[in-house]
Amino acid sequence: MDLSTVVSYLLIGISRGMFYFVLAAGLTLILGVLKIINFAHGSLYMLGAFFMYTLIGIMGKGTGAFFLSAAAAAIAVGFISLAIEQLFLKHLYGKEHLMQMLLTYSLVLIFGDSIEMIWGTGYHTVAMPKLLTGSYSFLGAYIAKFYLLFLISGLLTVILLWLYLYKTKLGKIARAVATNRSMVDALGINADATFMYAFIIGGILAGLGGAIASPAVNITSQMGDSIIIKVFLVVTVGGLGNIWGSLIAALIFGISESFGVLIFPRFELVVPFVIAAIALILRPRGILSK
Amino acid sequence: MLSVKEIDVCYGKAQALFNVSIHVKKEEAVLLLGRNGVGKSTLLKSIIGFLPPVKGSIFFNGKQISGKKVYRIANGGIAYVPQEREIFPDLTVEDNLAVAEHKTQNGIWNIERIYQFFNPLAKMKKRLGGNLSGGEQQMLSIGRALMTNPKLLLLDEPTEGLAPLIVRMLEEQINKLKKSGIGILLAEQNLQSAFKIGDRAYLMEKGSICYEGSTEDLMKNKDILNRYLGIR
Repeated sequence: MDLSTVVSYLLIGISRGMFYFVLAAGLTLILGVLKIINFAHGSLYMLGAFFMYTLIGIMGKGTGAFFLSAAAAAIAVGFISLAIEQLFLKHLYGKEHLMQMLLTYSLVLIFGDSIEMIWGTGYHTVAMPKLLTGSYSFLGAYIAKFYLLFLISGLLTVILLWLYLYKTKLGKIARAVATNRSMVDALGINADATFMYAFIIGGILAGLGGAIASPAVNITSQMGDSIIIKVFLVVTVGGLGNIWGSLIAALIFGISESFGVLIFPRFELVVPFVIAAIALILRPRGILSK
Repeated sequence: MLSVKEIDVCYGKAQALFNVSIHVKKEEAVLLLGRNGVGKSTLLKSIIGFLPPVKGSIFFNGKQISGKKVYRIANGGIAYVPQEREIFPDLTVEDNLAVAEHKTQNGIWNIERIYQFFNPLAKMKKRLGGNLSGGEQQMLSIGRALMTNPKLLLLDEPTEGLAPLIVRMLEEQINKLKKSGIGILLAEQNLQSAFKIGDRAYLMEKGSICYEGSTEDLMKNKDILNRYLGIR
């Protein structure tokens, strides 16, 4: 195994990790602020991919159209998240967790069937834009340009979430709500509004994840099922509700997945789960839990 | 300014307050005294809206507030400093204050003013709330409440568990707040502190008000102090 191979697999691992982070960040934000386990996160990811497929069909296959469609798909999922929050979730704050879980699980079924009714049961694909085809050379390693999209999306998510959570009043309130909702109320702040924003941001991130993944996967009505398991694992290993823990866990997951292919090709699927299990044995409440 | 009229409050099926009536006038400091568990904290929680009364009403500046959401009551000009202080542990001192900022037309409180008022906080702006001492947390908790520019401050045992030096400092500062025109409703077990602050006092026993009078009169009434507070 030479250096260029290691660098190549490391970069792929980091990129994949960043992709998982885009999805995990939204899920853990919702979990941390709203204390709701959103099973429908995978469905929102799937919707992002299907919107992308439709939008690319309308806008064309150019690079500009690709990025514009990705942004529009993410925002469209944001609007759907707003509707979910306002129509359903809003009425379940402070209620039993079971009720909230049943609601988000029922949304999985509703979205799954709705997608099959609108887009059919077959699979769809989105063509890779020109800018992202081919590869870059770095320290002798060749990296598919497409992975840069994951890397940049992940980095942008890190920066924007940091700015939101630490530099805006709304984000600071979201962090306050995560630890003590009733005290936030007692300060005259409508915590329900904070919940709404957090759920929309989580939805936008899920939609963005689906949009950027669309050229690399088969777009089907089941595509949310497999990814959501990995993302839940990332969120758990990172520490429930801890965004920066999710970042570390997502990178560990992505890198172990990548090196799993290189070192244990016959067990490549198992490697990241074994690493996650070890991490949970060592830190049962998550990497960055207190 | 505040008028609590014949309220009953329950925790589930257990009744905690029985036909309680109190009032606080503008720029007045009123004490809620009584032993542990008599319902002082419950009354404050009921006023701020955490435990809406099952009977009776609460009025603030002539408007009924009982039954309204907590954030609406707080927005109307009532600030609550809980016994447990409930600082946001993951936020810095500055951010704890910033989230509470509520600009009002005649509001005088802002972050800089809080730092002048509670000087020690100015030296720990970037420290996390969870890493503060009890006294520092109490200053921050009161400072955070003031950031909402309240007309009435509900204080639940602010001196509990604090060093004598900090207690004296808090007494001085709470008295300054009183002089600045903020109404104060103070639940306290530390009578020495309370008597330095209060104009009037209510004594509570088993979820009811059992005595009402000026602080001056209460201090002289050894019989009442002995019967309800165990002071000889």
